[in-house]
Amino acid sequence: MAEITNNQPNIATIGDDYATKYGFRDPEDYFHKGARGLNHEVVEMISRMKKEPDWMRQFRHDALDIYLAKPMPTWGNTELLNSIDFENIYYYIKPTEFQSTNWDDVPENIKNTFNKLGIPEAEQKFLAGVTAQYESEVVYHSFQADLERQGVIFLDMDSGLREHPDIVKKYFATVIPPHDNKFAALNSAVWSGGSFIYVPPGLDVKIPLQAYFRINAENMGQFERTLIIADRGSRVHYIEGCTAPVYSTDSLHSAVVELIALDDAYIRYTTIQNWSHNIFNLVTKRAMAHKNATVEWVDGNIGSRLTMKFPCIYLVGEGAKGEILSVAFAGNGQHQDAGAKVIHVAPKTSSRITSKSISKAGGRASYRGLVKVYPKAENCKISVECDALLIDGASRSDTYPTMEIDADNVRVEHEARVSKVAEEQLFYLTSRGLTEDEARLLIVNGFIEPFTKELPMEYAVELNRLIELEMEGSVG
Amino acid sequence: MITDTIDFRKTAKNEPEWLYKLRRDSWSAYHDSPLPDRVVHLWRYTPPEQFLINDPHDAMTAAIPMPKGNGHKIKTLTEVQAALGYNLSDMTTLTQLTPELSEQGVRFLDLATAIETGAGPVQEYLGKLISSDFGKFEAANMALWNIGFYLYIPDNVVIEKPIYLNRIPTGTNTMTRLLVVAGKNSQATLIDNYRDQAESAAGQFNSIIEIFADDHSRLRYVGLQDFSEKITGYITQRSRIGNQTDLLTVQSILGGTVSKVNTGTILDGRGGNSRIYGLLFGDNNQHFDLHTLHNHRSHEAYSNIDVKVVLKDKATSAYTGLIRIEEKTVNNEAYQENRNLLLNHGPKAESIPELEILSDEVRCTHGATMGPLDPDMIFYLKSRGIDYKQAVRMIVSGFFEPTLKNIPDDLHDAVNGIILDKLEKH
Repeated sequence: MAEITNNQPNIATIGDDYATKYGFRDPEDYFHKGARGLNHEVVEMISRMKKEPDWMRQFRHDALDIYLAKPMPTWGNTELLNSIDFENIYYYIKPTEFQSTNWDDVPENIKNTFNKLGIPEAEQKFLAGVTAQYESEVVYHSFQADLERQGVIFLDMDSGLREHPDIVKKYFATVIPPHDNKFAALNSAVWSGGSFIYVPPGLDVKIPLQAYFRINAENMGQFERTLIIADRGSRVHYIEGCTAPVYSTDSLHSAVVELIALDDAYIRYTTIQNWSHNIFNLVTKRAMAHKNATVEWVDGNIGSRLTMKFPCIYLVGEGAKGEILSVAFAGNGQHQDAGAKVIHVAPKTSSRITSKSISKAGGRASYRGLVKVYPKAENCKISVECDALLIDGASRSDTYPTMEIDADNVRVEHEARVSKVAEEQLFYLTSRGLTEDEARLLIVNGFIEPFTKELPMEYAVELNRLIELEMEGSVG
Repeated sequence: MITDTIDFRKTAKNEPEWLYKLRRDSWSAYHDSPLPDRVVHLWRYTPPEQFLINDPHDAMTAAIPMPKGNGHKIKTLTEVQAALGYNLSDMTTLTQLTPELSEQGVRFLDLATAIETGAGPVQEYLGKLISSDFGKFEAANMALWNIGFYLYIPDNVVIEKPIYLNRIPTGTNTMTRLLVVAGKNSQATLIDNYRDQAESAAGQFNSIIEIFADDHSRLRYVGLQDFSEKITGYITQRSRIGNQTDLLTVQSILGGTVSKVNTGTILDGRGGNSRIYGLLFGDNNQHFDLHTLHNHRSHEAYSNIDVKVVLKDKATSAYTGLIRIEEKTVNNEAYQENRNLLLNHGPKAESIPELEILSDEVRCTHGATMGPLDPDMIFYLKSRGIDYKQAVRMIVSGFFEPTLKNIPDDLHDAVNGIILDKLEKH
């Protein structure tokens, strides 16, 4: 409490420099800026330029056909979805022709962006390797030597495909096939960048692996493809964080993330999504947890205009565990359609979903979830908890949970609560000398604390700062 | 042609022009609308094809003739009843009301007769909560209904004893409606009992219930569906309550092969109070699909939903519930709870309790649980010398008890009896 008053003497001006701080925009300077729109020629061009093997080229073409054949979703925020102009999007841009391994080689304007975001410091302090996605290609990539020695593969997806084609071919699109949904098909056709991680058996990667994503061109879609494989008994924590400049026309971000946790393995995937408020963020994320494996999605959604993201875990091995912890913050004009899915396929599996959402200034936060237990998956335990906080009367909160239990001896608990900031709490805090703004901020921070405490320290700090920016001026 | 049949009703039954038009328009709405989209949660678990009207002409006209030489004995009001209404298998309806209530202006009669004689306000209410736009099968009912009941309670009239309604199938397609108009400060309890008789053939049963409860009234609606497993039931109910109005809705769904029930209250007045209790017990291959709605359109209203489901054998159930708090409303409270108890291997339960909150001055929670019998409870009861069967009986009774408490005493025993019967069956 004291810290807040001391460190933020003037809360009203916080975020005034948001546009210069986060909304900066570098002049576009690209080598291969493809044409707008999508057809087989574009797909062919992408695949050729990347010098991909034949199977991948074919995979892309097949995926494009699936994408073109599939109708747009008829559920969710169809109004916003149908406003996306797919013809007006660049499906591939390659900013520089070489892969940077040394920070000094990174072009100046790109470095500026990262400096403003504080990446190098974060790396120095906490991170094992940085794969920063700037535009559609990975430009900066460093890796700690000892991790490499241990056999951990941490590459961008394109290099992964080049250097480890066998592993990629074995696992790629096995968790999310192109026909899963329209946007997964789109990503499969035009994917570019993203991370590829393979952790060998029994290895515990002690330091979190991190990639920083960023969109920097108007109307440019980003279609990262991330594939993480944790071999038997290994452990890994991957962090994905996003910020994007503020732009005037809409941009599409449609990633596909596949996680595979083999027997006894552990994967945690942390995301902080803070796209600018004109970006459509339509992401498919899914994990397979094999015998006694654990998968955890920690998912924060603060930015974007419309996010549709439902991290999913298939518990396919006996004794597998899944946990999804998510926070959504919907401000003016935003719709955070986030949720979680857990599919129990094997017996004695357990899962827990915790979802927190905050809506303010006309924002809309939706929790859309699915818990499904297949007939053979006996003795499962499931718990779902959704809490929503409404900051003002113009905002909206929805909860759409679905529970389909087709097995015996399954215990499911679901609970949801929606309320506004409690008057008693506000009164108590203001009576202690906090302004109403500060009090609200404190309550909101307390509300999402179960989430922030799961984040590495610098992310927690960043998230708190973002919430502060978002909360600013919410009174009066 | 079905339109000929509708025309026939107009001339032979003296149906007024507005009703004729309503029927014709509703028929077009039914006929022209596509099947409900299975993507929406309301239809996710129950295929809609089975509710299509196979023979609309038959639905309107074909009745099961009364058995010969078994002249129907008119049931008379008992001590505990304020009114009694029922229909026979030949589509005739009979209603009785105590003379005192009749003197106070209460009307309880056949819906068609009420329209024909102008016994009370009908036109401004009929189809206003469940119009032909509501859904395909609701439109079918509006076009084809031929058994209807009408209850009108004037302002300030308090009916102490319950009103009983017994409804039975009349053929392969039964189309029935109930319209309740309750005035200011009125009070009543309505028991709506669906069951079929030994001679009933397999068929569909489509029932629409509209309840208008004006300011400060207090109503209880208790629905009890105990069809044999020959009947496919489709029941839609909507109530609209005014200022400081109190409505209790109980839906006991126990019978039928497939039973799709959609029940909901529009809280249209300040300080309204609506509680919906669901009591579902499925066995064999029964399939239940219950949807509840609480729509808060005004301020300071309270709503609570409590749906309890017990399943055994290969029974399946789906519960979908929506609480919607409209924009610019303040100080609403809404609660929703769905508990599912699966007694053995085989049954399936689905639960989708949804919230749509467009206002911040609100307190809203929902919860759902699903699980088998608690082995600890069984163990505890067994250790006290109670055998397994008796222990299950006690646990199930305890599970339903909070709901049963809201049902009038005589019905309480009847419902409990059905539940115990179902528990014994194998």
